[in-house]
Amino acid sequence: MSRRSGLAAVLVLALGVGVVAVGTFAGEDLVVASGDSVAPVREHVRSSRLGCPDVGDMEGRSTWVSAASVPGLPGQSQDGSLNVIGGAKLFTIGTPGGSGTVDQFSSDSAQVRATGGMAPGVVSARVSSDRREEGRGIASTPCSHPSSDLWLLGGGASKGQRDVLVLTNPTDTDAVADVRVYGPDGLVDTTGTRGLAVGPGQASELQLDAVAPDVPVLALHVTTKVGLVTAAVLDNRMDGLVPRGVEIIPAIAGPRKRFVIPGVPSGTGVRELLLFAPDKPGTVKVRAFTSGGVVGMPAMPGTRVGLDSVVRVGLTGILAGRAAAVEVTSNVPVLAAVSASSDLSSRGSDLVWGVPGSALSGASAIAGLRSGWSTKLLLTATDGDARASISVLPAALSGAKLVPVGDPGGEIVVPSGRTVEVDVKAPKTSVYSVVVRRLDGRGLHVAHVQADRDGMMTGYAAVDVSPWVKLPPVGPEYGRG
Amino acid sequence: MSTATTASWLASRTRPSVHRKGEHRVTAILVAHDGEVWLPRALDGLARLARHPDQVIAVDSGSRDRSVELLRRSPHVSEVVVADRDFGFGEAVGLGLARAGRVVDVTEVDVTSAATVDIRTGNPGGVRTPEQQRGVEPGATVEWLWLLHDDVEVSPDCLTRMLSAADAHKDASVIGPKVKGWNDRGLVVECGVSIAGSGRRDVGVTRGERDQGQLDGRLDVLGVGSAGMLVRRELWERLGGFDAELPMFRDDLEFCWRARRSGERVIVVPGAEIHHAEAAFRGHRSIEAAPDEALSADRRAAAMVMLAHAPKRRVVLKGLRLLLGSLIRGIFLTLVKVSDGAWDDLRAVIGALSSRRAVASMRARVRQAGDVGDGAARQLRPSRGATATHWRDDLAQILGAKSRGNSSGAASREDARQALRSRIRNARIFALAVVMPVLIVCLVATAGLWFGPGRLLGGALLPAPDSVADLWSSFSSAWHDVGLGSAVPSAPYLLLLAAGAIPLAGSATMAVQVMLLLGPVFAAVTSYLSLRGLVRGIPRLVAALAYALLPATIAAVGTGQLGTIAVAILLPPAVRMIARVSTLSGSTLRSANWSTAGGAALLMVFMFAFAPPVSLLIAGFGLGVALVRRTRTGVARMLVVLLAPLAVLWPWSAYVVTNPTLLLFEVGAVSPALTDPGPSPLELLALNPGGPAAPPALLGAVLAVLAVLALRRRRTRARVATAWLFFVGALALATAQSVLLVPVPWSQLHQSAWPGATTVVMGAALIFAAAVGAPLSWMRSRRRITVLAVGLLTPALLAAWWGMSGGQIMERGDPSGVSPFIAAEMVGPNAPRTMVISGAANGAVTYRLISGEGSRIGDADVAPPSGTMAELDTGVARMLAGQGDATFLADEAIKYVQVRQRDAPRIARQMDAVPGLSRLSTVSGTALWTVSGVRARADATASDVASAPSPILGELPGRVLALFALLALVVLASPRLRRRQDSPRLATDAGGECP
Repeated sequence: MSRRSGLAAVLVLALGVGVVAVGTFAGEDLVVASGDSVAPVREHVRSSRLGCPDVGDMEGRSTWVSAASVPGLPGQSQDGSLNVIGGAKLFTIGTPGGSGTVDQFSSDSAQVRATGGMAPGVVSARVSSDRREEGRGIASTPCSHPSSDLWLLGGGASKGQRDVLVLTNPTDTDAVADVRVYGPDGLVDTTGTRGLAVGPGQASELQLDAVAPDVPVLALHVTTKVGLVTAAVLDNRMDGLVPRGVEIIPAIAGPRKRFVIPGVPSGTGVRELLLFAPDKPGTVKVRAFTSGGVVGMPAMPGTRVGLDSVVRVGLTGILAGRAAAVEVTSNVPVLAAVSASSDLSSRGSDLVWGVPGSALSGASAIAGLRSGWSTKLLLTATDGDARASISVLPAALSGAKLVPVGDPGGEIVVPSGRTVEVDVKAPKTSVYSVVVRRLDGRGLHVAHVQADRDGMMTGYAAVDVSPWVKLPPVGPEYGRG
Repeated sequence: MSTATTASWLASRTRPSVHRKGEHRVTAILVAHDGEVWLPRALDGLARLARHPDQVIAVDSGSRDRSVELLRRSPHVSEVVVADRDFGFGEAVGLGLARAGRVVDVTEVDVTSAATVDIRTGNPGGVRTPEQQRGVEPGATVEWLWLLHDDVEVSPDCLTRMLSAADAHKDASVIGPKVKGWNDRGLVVECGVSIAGSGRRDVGVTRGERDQGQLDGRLDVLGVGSAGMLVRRELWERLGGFDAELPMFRDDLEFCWRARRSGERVIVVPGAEIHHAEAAFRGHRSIEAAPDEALSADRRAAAMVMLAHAPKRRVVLKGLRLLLGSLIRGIFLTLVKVSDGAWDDLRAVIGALSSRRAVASMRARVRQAGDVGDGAARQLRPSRGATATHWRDDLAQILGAKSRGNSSGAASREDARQALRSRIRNARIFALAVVMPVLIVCLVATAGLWFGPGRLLGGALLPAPDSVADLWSSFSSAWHDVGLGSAVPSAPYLLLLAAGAIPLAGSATMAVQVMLLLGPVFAAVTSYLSLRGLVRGIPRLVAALAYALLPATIAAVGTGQLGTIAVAILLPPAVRMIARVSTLSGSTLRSANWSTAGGAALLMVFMFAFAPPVSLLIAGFGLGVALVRRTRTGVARMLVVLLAPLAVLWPWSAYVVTNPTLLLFEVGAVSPALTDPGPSPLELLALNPGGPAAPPALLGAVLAVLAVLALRRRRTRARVATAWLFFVGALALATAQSVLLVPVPWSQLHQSAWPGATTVVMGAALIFAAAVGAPLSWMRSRRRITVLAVGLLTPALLAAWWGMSGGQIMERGDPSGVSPFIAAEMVGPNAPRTMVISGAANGAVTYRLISGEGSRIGDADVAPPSGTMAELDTGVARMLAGQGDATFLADEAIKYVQVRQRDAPRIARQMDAVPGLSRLSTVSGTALWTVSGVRARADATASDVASAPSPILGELPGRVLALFALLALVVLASPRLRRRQDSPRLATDAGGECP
C-alpha cells in the first residue's frame, strides 16, 4: 500500500508539473477559434476626410490642389462622392480612377471629402511654386487625415527662417489645439501656443519665429483638447538675400523605436538627420539604404539623443550624393526627419524634407505631379528583395486608366538593402498621379522627388491608399467599467 | 364473549354497595386491550396503592393475549368484564360502570336491604337540587370513577392525593394526575391537557421536560387525560360519558371541555403521579376501535372536537383553517420525508370535515352541556406563544434527529451531554482563535465599504437593489432593460441572495454586503465544521484560518466576485458530502445515503448558481471516483449530484450549457480589467488568481510546501495524494481559465475568465493535504510548533497585507454612474440612454449602455446576445475610426455619450470629430457629448420587445419542472424522521393521548 500510494503521489506531482509546463508554454491569451464571433478588424473605407494645409497667399506664388481616386481597389463604386472643397466646392470626382486639380488656388485651406464607394483610394496633395527671390522654391505635401496628436520635426526660427505652423481643421466641428515647442536645449517657453482655435473647415497659422525666436531647429508637438486637426510646417529659408528653399514638412504620427525615412534624393547638397527623444534619452543607430547598398555611420556605435532636445546628425558624407532611405533604430521611442537640399550655386538652393513612413502594404500613390517637372520615384527594399509595379494615372475627372511605367507592365525589382531611382515619364495631361503596387516582398518604401527646370525640388513619401480601415475591437460591457 | 353473554354476566354481578356518608367512594375502571406487556406493572401499581379503590372493574376489549388471565388472577380486581374487540375506550368505561354497584349512604338506607336506591336523593325518581347534582352537598358521599389504562402504573399515593385535592376543592368534578414516562420515570409527559386552534394537543409541558417540581402549582386546566382521570360519577352519567363519536382519541379532552362548558371545574394534581407507556399511540398495539393509523385517528378526532366546540357562526371558518393547517403540515411532513404522514393527516381532516352527521351529533351534546363555563374554558386554551414553542420543538427535533441517531437511555444522554459540552468548548476556542481574528481583519480591510452614501459596487459587483422584492422582480422579469434589451434567463443566484436578505430585514443591499465583506468569516466556519472527524485540535483551527484567508478569497472581496465568495463558503461541506456519496471517504466518514446525495446535490445547485466551473469540477471528480470504485449506488448518486443543477436551475442552466464557454466563468460582470494582470501558471501554483486586488504572488506558496511535505507520511499518504490529484485537476482548470481567450455570448470581444473560485478549490486541497498529513503526533514538540507556525505564516501574512493595503477596487458610489443632470433626466419609461465608452488595456474599446437608474446586480448575467449589440458595436468602431456618424446612436435613443478623457484621451478627441455629436461639457476629466436627432425611447425599445421571443411562455414548463426538481431535491436531502417510536408528537401537531 505504501509503495502504491508513494507511486501515486509521484504521479500526481508529475501531473501537476505537466499542467504548469503546458500553461507556461501555451502563453497568455491563447485565443480559442470561434468563427463568426471574432470581432471584425477591418472593413472597406467608407469615409475619408483629408486636410490640405494653407501655404500662404502671396503674389508670385502659385498653388495647386490635386486629388485622385486610385482605381482598381476593393470596395470602390460610384455609389458615393468625392469632393474637393476650399471655401466652396472646387471640383467633384464621380468615378474611381478620376482625378482633378485646381490651379491658382487661393490661400484658403482645402479639404477632400469622400464617402461611400468613392472613399477607398483617395489621395490628394497641395503643391506650390514660388518664383520670387524671397521664398523661391517649390513645395508639396500630401493632404492628410486629421488627428488629435501630431509631431513635427524640422524647420526653425533662426535668422533667415520664416517658418509657419499651419493647423487645418477638415471636420465639421471646432477644434482647439495646444502646441509645445522644443529646440536643441529642450522645451521652449512660449506664449500664445495654447488653446489655438481652429474652426470647421478653417486653418490657423503660427509664426514660429514669433514664438521661438532664434531657435535653429524645432520639434513641435500638437495636441488637441477638442476636435481634430492636421498640421504642417511651411519651411521657408533665406540666407541673406539668397533663397535656401521652401518646403512643407508633414506631420509625424508619433515616436517609434524603428522606422525608415525614404526619399533622400541623389545629387549634391547637404543631407541632415534630425533626432528628437520626447520621453527619455536614448541611443540611436543610423544606417542608410543607398543605391549602392547599405551604409552605416562610420566610427559611431550610436548617437546619443538627450531628452526633449533636437539633435542634428550630418549624413552628407556617408550618402555621398546617392539616393537613399535612412533607417533609424533606437532603444527609446524617437522622432526623426531628414532634410536634403539641392545646391543651385548662385541661385541659392531648394530643399526636401523626409519623414518616417510605413512600408507599402498594398498600393500607394502620389497625386498632384506636374507634367512639366521631372519626377523620380525612389524605391527602397529594407527586408529582402521586393517587386512592385508602377503606373501613371492621367488627370481626368471622368476617370482614366492606369498606364504602366516601363516594361514589362511597369514591374520593377528592388534588391534588398538598396534604393532604386525610377524616372517617371509624364503623360500628356498637365497633372497626373503615380500609383505603386507592391507585388512581392516586404519592407518596400516609396517616395518621390520632383524638380523643375531650374533645379528646384520637392518631394514626399507615397501615401498608402489601402482600401481597408482597421476598426478597433469594440464590445459592450456590463460591469462598472 | 358476545355482547349478549356480557350483558347476562353483568346482570348477575350488578348490585348496590354500602358506604359511609361524607366519604369518597372510588370505582376504578381498568380498560385493557392486548396489554399483557404492561399489565403486570399496572396491577402492581394498584397493589401498592396507599388508598385502594372501593372496587376495581376491569374491562378487557377482546384481548388476544393473556390480559384477561392476568386480570382475573389479580386479587385487586373486583370483576373482569370482557367486551368485544372493537369497543372504544368510552364504551368500555360505560360497560364497566354498568357493572359497578351504586353506593348507599348508611344513614339513609337499610344496610340489610339489597334494593337499589338513588345514591343522590334516596328517592327513586326524585328531583335533585343543583348542589346535589354537582355532588357538593356538605356531608354527602361522593362517588368517583377512576379511569385506568392497562399501560398505566399509578404511584402509591396517587389516589390519596387526588382525593385530598377533591376535599380541598369541593367544586372540582374532574381531577387528573401528572403523567410521567413509562421508562424514563423523570420525564413529564403530561400535566393537564388542552387543545390549540389548529387541533394540536397541548399537554402542558415542553418536550423532554424533567420533573423538578416546577409544575406543582398548577391546578385549573381545560382537561385531563383519560389515563388516571378521576371523575364524579354523577357528572359522567349526566354528560353521557365520553362521546361515542370519538372511540379512542381526544375523547377525554372533549369530555372535560363539555364539563367545563357546563360549569364544572377540572383540575390537575401534580403531586399525584402515574407512568404511562402510551402503547396505542406509539403503535405498540393495534386498535380495532380506531382502525386508522393512530396519528391519523388522533388528527381526525382533534378536528371533530374543534368543529364540535366551535361557535355556530365560525364552524365553516374553523373547517377551512383546519384544512389549511393540514395542507401546511402536509408540506412540512413531506419535507421531513414523512410523506405518508402528510397524506394521513390530510385524509384525517378531510374525513372529519365530511363526517357531518357525527359532528352534528357531537355539537348537540355540546349544546346540552350548556355554555356556563365557556368563557373560563376559552381562557384555558393554549396561547399563541405556546403553539410557537411546540413548533420550535418540532423543528429542533428534525434538526437533531440525525445527530442523535438511535441512542437512547440515560447513558447515551449523559454521553450526549458530555459531547455537547465538548462541542461548546471547542466552539468557544474556534470563535476566539479563528472567527474573531478573521472578523477583525475583514472589518479593518473593508472599513469604508459598509456605510455611507451610495451603494457598494465596483469590479464584478453591480449595485444591489433595496429590497428582496426588487431582487425577485429582477429574477422574474422575462425582458431585461440591459443593453438594447435582453430575454436571457435570469441568473438564479438572485433568489439565493433574496433568501439571504430575508433575515436582514429584507435588505438586499445588506445581504450582498454581508455575504461579500464577511465571506471569509463564513468560509472559516464552514471549513471548520467540515473538517469534523478528519482533522483534530490545533491543525483544524489553523486549517480553518488558512482557508478563510486564501488569496483568492481576499481578492474576491476586493473585486466584488460573489461567485468566488459563495464557493469559499459552500466548498467544504460540498466536498465532504461528495466524498461520502462517491465513497471516496471510505470508513473515515459515515457512509452516505440518498439524503446525503440530496444534500450534496443541493450544495452543487447553489455552487452552480454562483460558479458553474467549480461545481462541475467537484461533481465530475466525485463521479470519477465512484466510477473507479465501481460502486453502482455511488455512481447513481453522483449522477444525481451532477445533473441536479441542470434540472433545478432550468432555464438558466440550459443557457449556460448551450454557451459552453460560460462554464469557465462565474457570475457577475466580466471585464478585461478584472483579469489584468493575469496570473502565470507558477503564480497559480502559489494560489494567486491574478487581477487588480490579488495579494502578492507567492504568499500562498507556503501551503504548497507543507502539502508536499505531507506526502512523506505513509499512513495518510493516500488521502494526501487524493487531495493533490484534486489540486492538479483544479490547477488545470485554473490554467485554462487564465490562459484561454474564449468567445462569450454577450460580446464579440473574447474574454478570459478570472480563476478565483478555482484557486479556492486548489487552496482547499492543499490545506486539507497539509492538515491531514501533518505528522504532528510523532514530532517533537519544538518541530511541531515550527510546523504549526509555518502553517500560520500564510494566513498571517495575507491578513497583514490585506489589513494594511485594503487591496480592493470596491467603493460606495452612485449606482447610475452618470452625471447628476443626466441621472435626473433618466427617469421614466421614455428616459434616454447614455453610452459610456472606455478604452481597454489591450487596445479594445468597450462601452456600456445606461438606462433608468443604472445597472443592477444580475444585469451582467442577462446581457443580450452579441448579435443584438452587433450594429452598435460596428457603429462605435466606425465612429472611432472616423468612418461614421452618430446616427446609429440616435436610432437607439442614446442621447448622451460619455468618455473619461483621462483613461481614453484619443477616443475623446476622436469623438469631437464625429458628425452628430456635440460636446456638452468636460468636468473632472469626463467629457460628455449630446447626440442630435435622438429617437424616442419608446419607439426604440418597442421594436426590441416585439422582436424578442416570449420567454415566459417558452420557459414556463421548464420553470415548473425546475420547481418540482427543487422540491424533490429538498425532500431527498431532508433527514428522514421516525414517526412513532422516536417522535410520537412530532409527526402531527394534533399530538395524541393514548389508552
